[in-house]
Amino acid sequence: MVAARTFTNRTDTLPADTTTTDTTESHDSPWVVIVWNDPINLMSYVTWVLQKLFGYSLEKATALMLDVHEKGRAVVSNGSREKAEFDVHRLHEHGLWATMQKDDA
Amino acid sequence: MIERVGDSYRIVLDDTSRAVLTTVLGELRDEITTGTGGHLTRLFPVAYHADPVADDEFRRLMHDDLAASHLAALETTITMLGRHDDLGAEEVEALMRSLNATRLVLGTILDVTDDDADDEEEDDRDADGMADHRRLYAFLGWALGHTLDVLGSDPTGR
Repeated sequence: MVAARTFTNRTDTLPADTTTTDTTESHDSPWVVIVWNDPINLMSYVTWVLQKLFGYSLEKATALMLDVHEKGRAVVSNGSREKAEFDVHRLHEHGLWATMQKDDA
Repeated sequence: MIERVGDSYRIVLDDTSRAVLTTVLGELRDEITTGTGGHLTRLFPVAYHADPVADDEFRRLMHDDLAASHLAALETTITMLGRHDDLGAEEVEALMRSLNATRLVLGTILDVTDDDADDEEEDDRDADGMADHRRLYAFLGWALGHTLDVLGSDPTGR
């Protein structure tokens, strides 16, 4: 059932509204990394990448993946600007649609 | 696609499938190397979605590293497809990244949307001459999903 694992709700142009749907660390970190929904990446692959890169448990990675799938995006990491850039780069290496922004929430 | 052999893995594909994958991955490697084709955008996405200036700077600094990373995974996978011995976890990771990267590019070419997700395994229509692309896209999805199933819930594959 490949279709069941494929993201839906394609976003061709990323919206300017950058309200986050989840945070994974402390709330006082100035930068957040967001993974966006897309119609191509397999849900199981996104879960695996989040486990692999951030050491998240299967449960936490799955919850973040489902946030991406159902809400369109999820904050997957936060920290300094340098850390956020590093995380975005690693996510891009693995083909995920990831961006970063200052955490103004 | 792969099978577990103790702490290692082995590719389980016939020679024809190996040859097709090798050709497709080689084409993607060549396109990344030459920087051609607008359908590579998903491999080099925006990093600062709300700050074009910062994004340009990030791209200027990181694009070559990202391209080199994609190319290294593709080279590793192409070499693996020519072998029949056991693979380590890092090689399996390169395999998955390569399958996913190729799928991202094909999905871009096919303009995959939500509605396509329900019939990607069955779509053989060829009104637009893209049936082969759709079949390859479906195969890559199966191959990646199967590889993830074999790895199990542990991201290291242990």
